[in-house]
Amino acid sequence: MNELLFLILMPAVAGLVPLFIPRKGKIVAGIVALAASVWMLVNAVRIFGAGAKEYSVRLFTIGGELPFDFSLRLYQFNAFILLFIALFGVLVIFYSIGYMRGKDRSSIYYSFILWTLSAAAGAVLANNLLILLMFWEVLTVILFFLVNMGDEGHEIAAGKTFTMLGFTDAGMLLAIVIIWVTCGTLEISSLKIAATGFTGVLTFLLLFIGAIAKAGAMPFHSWIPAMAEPTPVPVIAFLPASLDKLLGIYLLARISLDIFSIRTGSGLSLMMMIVGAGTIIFAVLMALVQHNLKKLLSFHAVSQVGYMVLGVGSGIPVAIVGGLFHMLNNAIYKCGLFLGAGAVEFRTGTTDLEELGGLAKLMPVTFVTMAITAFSISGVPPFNGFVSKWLIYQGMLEGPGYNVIFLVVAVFGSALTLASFVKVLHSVFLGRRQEKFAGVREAGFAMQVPMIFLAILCIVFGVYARLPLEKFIIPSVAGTTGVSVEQMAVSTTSGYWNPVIATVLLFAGLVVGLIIYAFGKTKHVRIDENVWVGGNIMDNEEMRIPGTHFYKTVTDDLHPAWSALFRDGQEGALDIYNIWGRIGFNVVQVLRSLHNGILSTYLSWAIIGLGVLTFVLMFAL
Amino acid sequence: MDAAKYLFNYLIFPGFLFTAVVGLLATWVDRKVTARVHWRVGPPWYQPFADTVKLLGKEVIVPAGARATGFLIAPVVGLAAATLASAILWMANLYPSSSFVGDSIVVLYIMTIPAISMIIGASASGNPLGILGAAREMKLLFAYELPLVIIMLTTVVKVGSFSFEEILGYQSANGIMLGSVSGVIAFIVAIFCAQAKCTMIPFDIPEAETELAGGTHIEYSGAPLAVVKLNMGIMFFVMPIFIITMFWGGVSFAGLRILTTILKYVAIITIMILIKNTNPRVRIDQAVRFFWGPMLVLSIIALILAVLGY
Repeated sequence: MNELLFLILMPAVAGLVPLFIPRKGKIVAGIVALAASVWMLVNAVRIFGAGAKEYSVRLFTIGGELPFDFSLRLYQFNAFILLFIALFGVLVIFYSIGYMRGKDRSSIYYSFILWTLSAAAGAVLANNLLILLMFWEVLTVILFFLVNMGDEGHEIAAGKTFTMLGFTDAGMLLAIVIIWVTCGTLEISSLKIAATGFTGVLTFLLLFIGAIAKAGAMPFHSWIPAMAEPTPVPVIAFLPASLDKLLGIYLLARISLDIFSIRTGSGLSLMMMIVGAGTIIFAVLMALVQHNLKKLLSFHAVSQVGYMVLGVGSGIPVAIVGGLFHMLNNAIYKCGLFLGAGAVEFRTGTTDLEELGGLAKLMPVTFVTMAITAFSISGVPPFNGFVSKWLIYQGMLEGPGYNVIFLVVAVFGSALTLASFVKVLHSVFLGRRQEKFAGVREAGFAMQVPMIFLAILCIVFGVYARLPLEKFIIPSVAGTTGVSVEQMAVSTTSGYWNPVIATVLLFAGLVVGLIIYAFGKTKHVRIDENVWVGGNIMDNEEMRIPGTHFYKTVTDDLHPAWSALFRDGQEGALDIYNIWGRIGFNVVQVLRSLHNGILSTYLSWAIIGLGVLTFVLMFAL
Repeated sequence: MDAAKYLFNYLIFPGFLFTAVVGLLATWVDRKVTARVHWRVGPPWYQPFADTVKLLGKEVIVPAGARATGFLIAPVVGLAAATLASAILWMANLYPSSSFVGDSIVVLYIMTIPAISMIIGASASGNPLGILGAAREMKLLFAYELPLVIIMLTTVVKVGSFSFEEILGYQSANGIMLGSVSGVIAFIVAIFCAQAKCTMIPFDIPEAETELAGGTHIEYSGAPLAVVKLNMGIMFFVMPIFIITMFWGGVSFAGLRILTTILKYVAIITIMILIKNTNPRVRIDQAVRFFWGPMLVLSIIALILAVLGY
């Protein structure tokens, strides 16, 4: 069988197996899914090095003129996306085997995950817009089912997710129809459309909205926070946190770089950058006030998309490289963060930041991996998030003068991200522990391995940033921006700071500090009973301060208008789903008032209708 | 060979040893000037060193509810990062060829790590006053970070690069940033940001000796406290050097310029010490309002002027 087709069909077929495995034996289903995903990963690695490949079958021809092909195309860019899709598949399934053990959920869960892998591979490989949309749609439907496997409140979340993604997908369908009519082909690799004029801009906007709704940029983000609480953690870690980012930004890059060739300084580029910068800042502000770990992380999942949209939308080669590298990095650390949150939830039964605290000693692996991923997302050197943000900052300097504003927003957003994760580390792992959590243990082996793997990846991609940049990102971007691979490598990595040396030196600094400790009387550390507060020795248990109100001064006390923003954000006023819901409700109210149940009203409507019809038939035609 | 050179640069000069000694001396200047303002005699020059040695001889106490590892390792991480920031900054000034693309961003980021490590340490201590201090430190950090980034960009926009080498080259060719209107405004904002970064009065809100009894430092004792104090000394050294590099032509040890270097540094810390001694501590919401209000406006004006070329 064709290798590309195999990558799509194999997980789909393997996904049928768990259907026949009863709930009791779901560990078997997990192992089957793991085997299938590992096989997929092996194949993805194999074809990654094998160069470009194409596969095409003519399905039908419309009117003898418009050919419709089922065509797949593999090249540099989607080969590496595919690689990481398969990798996340393996990690999440591995984690799920541990996570699902204590949960009463049937083995069909693994079928959904495998089908998601299949559809994601299809969407990435598709070289025909309609085929891409078809796989895209399958992902939306499966996500609906996966959210529905969640805890209390899942119906509303699943409905919201499906509605928002469904509507934006419908917009994409409209765009595809426009493209078919105007260009006569849907083959992505040969499409070139000018983003000018009404249809050009409309087509671009519809596709753009489809892409950013998947990735979760504002204002089409609200499905992610809504689904974050009820959905099983591996699902959030798999779809909105990693796969949807890869897919959404992949599509965004394809349309804005390949199909429409958006130029630096054009209106659409500016629009994309505004969307990106707005997403960064508003989402991170919302994250600051969250009380639930999963919801907080979901707002960061939104906020980080801003960097990618900003980078890709700017049209500046260095920033595009940064944006795509950030896509990859974000998938890595955000997946790790959600998996860590899942481990905490698995052991304590809650993700409420007010409840948690002091778990660092009991769950050291989770703590260390989450701290590493948290520093990565905050862009602390030498972790990977710093490198990609740094590339985006570099790029912002090259464009038009107004880019400075985006630069400020991006850097400041990063500081707020750090603030938000300081709150997380304090409220979950440091601070004080409640008595009832005294017996909490570290998460199991199956859950630890993916977390450790992702944390190591964060360090490797930060310290040896050249490796992913030269292997994955630069070859993907070089072709589309008209800059050669060599030139691109020079402009992004030469003169770049040397994270290896910096890391070694940081460790040398740690050694110096420890030597200072060694000089001191640190051999006999006295562990004191209680803390000393205001002249009194206080009972430890009373002294629990959760981190949920860390930033209350900033969010509530500064200015009424400012705190109103947070209130509105909390209550969903910035949520496009609610806004449209209200508009729809009002329209329905008008229609309802016509249905008042009085016969004469209905009769008069019927007669008016008849009159209009007669008029049209007699005179207008 | 290279490795040995890097280690020398990092550990001895201009890294750890040099930075620590000068940093501690700077805290002596602070104490001496403060004492003179108070009409006291003040300590002899070796007092900070004596204090450090004394602290090393004291017992280390860890509260029972603390996450001990995080609590003890945090000051060391801060020390490593502060030293790295100092080393990169000095190397770029003394040997411009060692500068790399975007090192000013790297230094800006690394300079936040000491504050973060203090937050983590205080949070791990489990002391409610420490945690209050940690929350305040974080709020203070993102309050001043916004104007700090913007004024940093006033220089970057004029030079068109993030690298210290080009920033210094531009200043030696076209005159220092302080010679322009935007540079002066940016410099004023930078001093206030430095004040907050070093948590000096009026922005010593996280430590707040009178109400939080040391805040972020409250549970530290012995050797860890010595490292905490050392970090503060180093930051008191690094931050003014960063400002000098960005706005005042940088530092140098070549011939007579060594004198001007010392004068520039002493001028900046004197301003900071005088602000410290003539102001009361503000509340955290006032501090946030100050940095997101007047300071933000000033920094934006500076940025606009810089974009326009003034």
